[in-house]
Amino acid sequence: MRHVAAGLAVAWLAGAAVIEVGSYLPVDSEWSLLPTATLFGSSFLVAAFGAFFMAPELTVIRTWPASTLRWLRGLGAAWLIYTAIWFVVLFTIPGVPTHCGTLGSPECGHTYVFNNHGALTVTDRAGFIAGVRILVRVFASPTVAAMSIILAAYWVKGRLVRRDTPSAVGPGDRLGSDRSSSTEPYPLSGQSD
Amino acid sequence: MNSERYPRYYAMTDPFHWSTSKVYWRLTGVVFGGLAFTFAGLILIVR
Repeated sequence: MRHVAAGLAVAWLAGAAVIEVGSYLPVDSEWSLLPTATLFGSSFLVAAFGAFFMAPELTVIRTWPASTLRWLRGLGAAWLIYTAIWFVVLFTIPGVPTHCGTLGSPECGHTYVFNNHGALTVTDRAGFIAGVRILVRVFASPTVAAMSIILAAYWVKGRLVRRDTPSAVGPGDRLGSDRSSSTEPYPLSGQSD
Repeated sequence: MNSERYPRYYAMTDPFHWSTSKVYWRLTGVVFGGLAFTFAGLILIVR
């Protein structure tokens, strides 16, 4: 099942990447609005699936080198701040008019529509497309972050098991020094501290 | 493993000690999977 989970994570990561890159291309970006909503919603299920079946792999993250963990924490903090700033910025620009004619949306053909800030707005194609670009960038990014972590854990676990003991000793604690000669995976006893 | 010999010590000194436990990751999967299915069900009900 872990291979299935990794496959799903790759597929969702690729989908998010297509949306992110596509939002910068000089083509009509309306196509990306509903796929992004679908991707964002389904990412919870795919990430949960990945976390459940890749639990042994994810526990190894704690044994990564201290510098890697520091970088990961710094990147996570930077990403949170970046997202928070964009979230505030989103409220300073005109809202994206509600998509028409799809699940939970009003009929098409109205002059005035509610936007995603809850206000009535005139349908404006250029503003709509500009808003869509920002919206899909924000909402496709959590998928990139979550799937990257799952895939990194999946990739690193196999290498670590072959290299040495994946022990939960905490960051920077002698990993790769006195244990690197051990060829037996998961030695639970008879090891000196 | 050190953390298996001294679980209480590591639990006290390492705020992310929980992430070395498979149970917590499985629980994360169950909780978020449950949330996802709940919202999917709600969307289907109110559509």
